[in-house]
Amino acid sequence: MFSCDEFRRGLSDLVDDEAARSLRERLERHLAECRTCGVLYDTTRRTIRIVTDAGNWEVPEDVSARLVSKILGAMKSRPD
Amino acid sequence: MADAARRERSGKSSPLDVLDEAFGGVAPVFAVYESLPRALEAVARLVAAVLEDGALLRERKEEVLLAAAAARGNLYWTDVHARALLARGRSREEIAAWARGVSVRPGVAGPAAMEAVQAAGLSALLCVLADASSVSAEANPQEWLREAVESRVERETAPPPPASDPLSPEDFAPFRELQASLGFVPRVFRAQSGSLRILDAEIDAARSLWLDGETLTPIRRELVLLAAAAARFDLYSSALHSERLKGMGVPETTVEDVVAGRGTGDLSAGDAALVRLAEGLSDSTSTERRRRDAEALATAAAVAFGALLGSIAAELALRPDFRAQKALLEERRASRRGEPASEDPDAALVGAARTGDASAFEELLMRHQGRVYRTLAGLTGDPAEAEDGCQAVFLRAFRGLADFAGAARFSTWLMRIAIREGIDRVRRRHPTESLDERATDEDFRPALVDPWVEDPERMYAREEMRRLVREALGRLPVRYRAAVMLRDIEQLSTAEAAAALELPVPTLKTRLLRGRLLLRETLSAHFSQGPEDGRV
Repeated sequence: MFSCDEFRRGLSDLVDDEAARSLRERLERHLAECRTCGVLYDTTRRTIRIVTDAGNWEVPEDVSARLVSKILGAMKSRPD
Repeated sequence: MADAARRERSGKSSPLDVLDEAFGGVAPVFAVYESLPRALEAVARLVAAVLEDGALLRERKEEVLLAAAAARGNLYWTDVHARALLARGRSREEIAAWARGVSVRPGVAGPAAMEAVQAAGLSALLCVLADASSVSAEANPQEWLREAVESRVERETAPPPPASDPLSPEDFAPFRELQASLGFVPRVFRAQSGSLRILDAEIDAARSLWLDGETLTPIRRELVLLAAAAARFDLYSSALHSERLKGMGVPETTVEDVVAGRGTGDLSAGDAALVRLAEGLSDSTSTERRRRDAEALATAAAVAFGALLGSIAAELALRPDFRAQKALLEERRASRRGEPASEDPDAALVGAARTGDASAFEELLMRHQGRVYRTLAGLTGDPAEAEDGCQAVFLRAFRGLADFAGAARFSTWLMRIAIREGIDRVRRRHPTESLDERATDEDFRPALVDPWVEDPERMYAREEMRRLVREALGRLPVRYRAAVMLRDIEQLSTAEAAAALELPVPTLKTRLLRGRLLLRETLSAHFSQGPEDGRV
């Protein structure tokens, strides 16, 4: 039987749906039997969702405009 | 003689037992091949023959196997051999030096050198089997070993060992069998005439995995072997399998298309899928390895054997038995370099920008500045640094555009520059921030495993949530932070994130997992229901 340590090693692959079928089946069997890893799996998925939502912000308009003008300005000042 | 000897040697133990004993428990690699009993038996016999003390002692062979696996970047087998060497009292320093290694077989001469070549060939076979069974991707060696593999340098090619007089088919029964089924004895076997015991086991493996292998039709077997040989630019094996296919009546144009990688238009859908699988098994950047059906396993077994032959032919610097297909393989190399760029959504703009079209570069800047800025802001945790860094990254990209070879997507290349810039800035400000990792898995054992509240997103306003995440990210060591940012925030694929961070995929995965677990821990402090409600 899969240990919790082994489960944890495969956790990312399970969350990302990148586990090969045989591994996924073993991970899922462990999940069905281990409450602690069930919680770990659930909270890791939610962590990723929160990080993705909160981390992928738009660059503020003013920053973006400043960046573009600075970079294009610096490019033009260089002889090609 | 071979059959009796084989039975004698393996006794009643199954091939899996033999393999398990040889490597101290590596059943997962081989267990998936149980549906190919003859192949498994041949591999077990080959492993036993190669590992036996011969002109080269077992321990030295273990070093060769480790160095060869490390040279292929295969963490799984490097780890297995490192454990074996540790058990034999070798120090970590010695083992790390082998994994970083300069030569696979330094200073070994004569018959011992031939056995080292054969051991390296076996390693090639084992690595393909492991890659195909997905254990490679799951490998999790200790950090010192991983570091050694990652910091490996190009190996010097040792001069080929002196050739011994080739035996004639009259003198050596396995050669007679090869003569009967192939019509000739390939040079790669004749060249090993000085090391008969291993050669005998090799030819036995040739029968079971290649010449009359299970599951695949003979044409398919040659086709996947050819595709794999071409994908690793193996001149010797490409010529061999091309000749075999032509002998089986496959049109020359079809064969040439496979060698040059011109696509699989002439092949049936089933053949084409196996060809792609075989190519994937020869190319460490590919992810086309997922299939686990009987045909896929038989393909992996054939390709693994082909990798052994290819490795030996290369180490011995053998000329092909038939016309070498240099031009076709060059064509393949050239189209491979161009391939990713043609699927690159930025390719047209990059092309225009290279000719000096400023508006094209401006468009590239607009497309990618968000990603670059966010990544720098996340890595440095400082908006002013991110702005300066962003400018530096785009200027560097602009100047470097002429050197951008299109081997990776433009966005991956740009993110690589951004990551380097960000990490440089972090290091300048925090010279103690190390990129090495000494952490072990135990350091990542979760402490808080209570269920979370039903709807954590509702507990905080959006701005507060962002701050929370930003702070949690800021507390991560930068190597984990970079992995999480590329994968979970910028949502690059695992392969793209690994490419941008210039890491092997397994390392990226380890760092990503650790980063995610640390973030989960921090967020758990806010969102946990508390132990009372959660426990049963």
